[in-house]
Amino acid sequence: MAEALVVSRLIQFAAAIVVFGCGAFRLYGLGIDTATITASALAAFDSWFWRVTTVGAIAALLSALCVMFATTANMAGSAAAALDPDTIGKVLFGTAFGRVWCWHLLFAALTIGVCLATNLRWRMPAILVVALLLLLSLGWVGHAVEGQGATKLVHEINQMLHLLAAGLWLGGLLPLAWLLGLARSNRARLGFRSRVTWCRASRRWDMPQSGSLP
Amino acid sequence: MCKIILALVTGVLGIGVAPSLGAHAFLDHASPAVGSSVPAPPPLVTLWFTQDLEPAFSGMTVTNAAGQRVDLGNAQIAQGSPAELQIGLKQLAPGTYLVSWHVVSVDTHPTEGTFTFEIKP
Repeated sequence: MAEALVVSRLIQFAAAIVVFGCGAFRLYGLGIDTATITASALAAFDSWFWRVTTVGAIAALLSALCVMFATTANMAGSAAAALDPDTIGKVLFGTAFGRVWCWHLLFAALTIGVCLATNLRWRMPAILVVALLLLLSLGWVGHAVEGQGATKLVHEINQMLHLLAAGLWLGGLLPLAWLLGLARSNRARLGFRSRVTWCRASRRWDMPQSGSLP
Repeated sequence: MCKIILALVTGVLGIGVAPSLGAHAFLDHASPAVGSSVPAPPPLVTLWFTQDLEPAFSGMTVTNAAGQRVDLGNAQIAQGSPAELQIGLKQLAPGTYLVSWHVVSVDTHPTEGTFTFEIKP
């Protein structure tokens, strides 16, 4: 059961980081500046983006459910308890972890909902908001809840800042890699400007910095 | 200058509040103390842990040398002290008693342990 918990948490963190990171990249990396990318290229990216985000959101929800089952078994000391409704209820509504995880499951469900709502007018801002909540809520469980008072609060804020940095940096690598691959392919006819783009990781900020040279 | 200060603050936040090594709830101290000899039967056993506990998954039992339970079955987290577990005891005769505890900390990690104490007038 410990292995199941470890694998579930790995998938959970990876999915939340990718879902948020892709959305954030869409905002800070591309925006709507046509000097950076043409409308056709942006449409191609958006098509890819929503497919990846939908898969990531589903993975986030499924792994969150697995974490819930594995944690229930871990806390109760029995693998059979993972599927016992009474014990699951005791965990979800009677423990500090469970009360946070209820919100986390809700955020994961909302993320899927936004992905499937293709006619939603504020779809992009909405996905950014729910993805951010999905990611940051991971900072409200685990070691972050140790301690009391101001120490606990600072610890939770610290965890959220680390998750935010990881989401922006690691999560942004996937769309960046997709764009770099697309730029090298024959699909450059979609309208990427003939510029050299560079990116690097800031040593101080754990955030990607990018720019372009004409 | 501002960037240096901000980098230092970030470093302090990152290092100063790094996750503690005590991620599990370990027994910090107990009353009666672990392995102690007390002159009179205590009315209850109290355990203090290193982390706050989850009441729904934390408990303890006290048994005599014959393995019979001598507690009142009312193990609970002390009011206002989420890292403190208590259980009431029946009137105990002189002898050696075994305390067995199992707890889950608020970060979901379970721990368990045992210790003995003696009543010796």
